[in-house]
Amino acid sequence: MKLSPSQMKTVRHQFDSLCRKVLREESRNYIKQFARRAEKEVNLSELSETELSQLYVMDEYPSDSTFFDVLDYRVAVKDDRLADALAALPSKKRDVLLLSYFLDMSDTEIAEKLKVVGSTIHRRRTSSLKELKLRLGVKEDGQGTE
Amino acid sequence: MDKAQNNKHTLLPFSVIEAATTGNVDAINAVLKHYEPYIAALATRRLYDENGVPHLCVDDELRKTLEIKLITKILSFELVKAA
Repeated sequence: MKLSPSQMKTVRHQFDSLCRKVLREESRNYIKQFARRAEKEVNLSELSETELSQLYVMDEYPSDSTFFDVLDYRVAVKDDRLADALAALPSKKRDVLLLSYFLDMSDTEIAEKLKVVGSTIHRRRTSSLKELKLRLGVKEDGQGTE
Repeated sequence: MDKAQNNKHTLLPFSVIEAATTGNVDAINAVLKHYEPYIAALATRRLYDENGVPHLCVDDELRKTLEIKLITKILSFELVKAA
């Protein structure tokens, strides 16, 4: 394959323009990519508390919580103070609290499970909440029910 | 290398282009050398320091990226398109 001098000149120009085009477009790509990334990137120090908290997970160990057995269920209580107070309650009263607040059962359901009447559940709950409140030394209202 | 001074308007010799497309290392280096100023100009970015003062500096990553891209394109260049 033999090219004439004018063809050679054409090829040289083609090569030159190709090289420049490649370089130009590639640098444009790079800068665009950079800008796209900069849009999404956030400084770690500028993250809000809630965003930061999504970045890690705390391990939960069974040894960190106290377990109570109610009927066929096993209820884990993480808060030590609450667990102590619950443990001090008589078991019948404790069962009512555990079933209604940790297992989200309605009074009717609990009454059925424990085979007692609904009003008993209500009475037990009211009195045990009162007792719990006393034990935890709760000052603000409602905290003891958690 | 007084050609490099003014290489906006100079073209690489045909023989170098021919050799570079067939993978001749020296020729490819010559091509890279020829476009070095242009690559440096493209890879220069304006960065700001903590006081907001602009600095011009060559982004080495971009420079290398451009060189690599150029080499791959040189190798796929066809002297005669009609082929």
